[in-house]
Amino acid sequence: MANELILVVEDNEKNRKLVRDVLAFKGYRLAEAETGEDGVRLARELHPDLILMDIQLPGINGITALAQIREDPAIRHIPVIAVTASAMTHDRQKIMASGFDGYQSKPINVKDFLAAVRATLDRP
Amino acid sequence: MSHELRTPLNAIIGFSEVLNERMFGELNDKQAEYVSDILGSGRHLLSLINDILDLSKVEAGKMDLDLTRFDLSAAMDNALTLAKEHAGRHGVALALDVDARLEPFVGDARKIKQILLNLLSNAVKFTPEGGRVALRVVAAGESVEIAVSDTGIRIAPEDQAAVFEEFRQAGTEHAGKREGTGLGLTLTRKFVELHGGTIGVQSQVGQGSTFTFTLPVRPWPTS
Repeated sequence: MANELILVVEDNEKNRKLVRDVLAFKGYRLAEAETGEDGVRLARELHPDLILMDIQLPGINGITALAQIREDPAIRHIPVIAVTASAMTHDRQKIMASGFDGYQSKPINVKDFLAAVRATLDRP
Repeated sequence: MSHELRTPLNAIIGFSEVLNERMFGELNDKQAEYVSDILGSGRHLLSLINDILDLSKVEAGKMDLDLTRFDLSAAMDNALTLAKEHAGRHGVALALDVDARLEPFVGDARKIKQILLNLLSNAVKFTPEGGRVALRVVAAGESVEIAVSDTGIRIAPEDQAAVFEEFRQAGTEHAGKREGTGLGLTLTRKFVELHGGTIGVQSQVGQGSTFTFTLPVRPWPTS
């Protein structure tokens, strides 16, 4: 049963609710942050199994937050999936080049999104 | 701007998918119908926003070619595979004819794929059941010529230039088939022109339509 802890970093309340509801439906445990700073802090505190990171955030953006996570030996191993509404090809290339473990564009496709979460968690 | 336009659609499309999947319980018939309509309209709006963003980028001169050297016949085969499901649903047969002289091609693979998919999807959409859509490529020295022909409706001569205009579809007899964004052929032409090529359509009574475009052959490496 899927009971891993997933940290969702997303500033939009409705998008957070969508992700929360579908992940909870699958049995995952959730932690949420509205800013990149809080996301990094919660990652250090909770050591989640997976982080879902929005890119455009108030304060530091998702790419900077990822860099901070990767600099910290205690949490650098946690897989981080970028979830972003900027779907332009060069944005996507820039995001993937920053070292994310996956990429989901918004609007998400719920089935694909859940499959990507599962696949990333199952990756050895 | 992409971010601002797409963010609200995440909630509209996402929550309707959740309802449509019956994740939190059954819906009655009317509710199911409405949810499916919201989902369909949300996805349509998303395609429209994506096409408009692409088009405005082209028109602002900010759309660049991302040139790579790739196997054009494999790309065509790939596009045909992607169109297969759509064609199957419409009862339309697909055929591919590749010139054996075709060499690795230098172009923007993603845009060429979109050109092929747009033309194939249009051809399938406007071809009646039992018809045929063929994709053909010919190596013509300084350029390659690619044609998508169908056995579908005829486009009247006076409408043939208009099909490339924004939000225009030729004729009125297929008003019920307006499922696209109305920008597919406009973008297709822009992508062809970005490559330095041209596109046109020929259509005759009883013979369906053929969209033909050329793409110039570029040296590799490009600089």
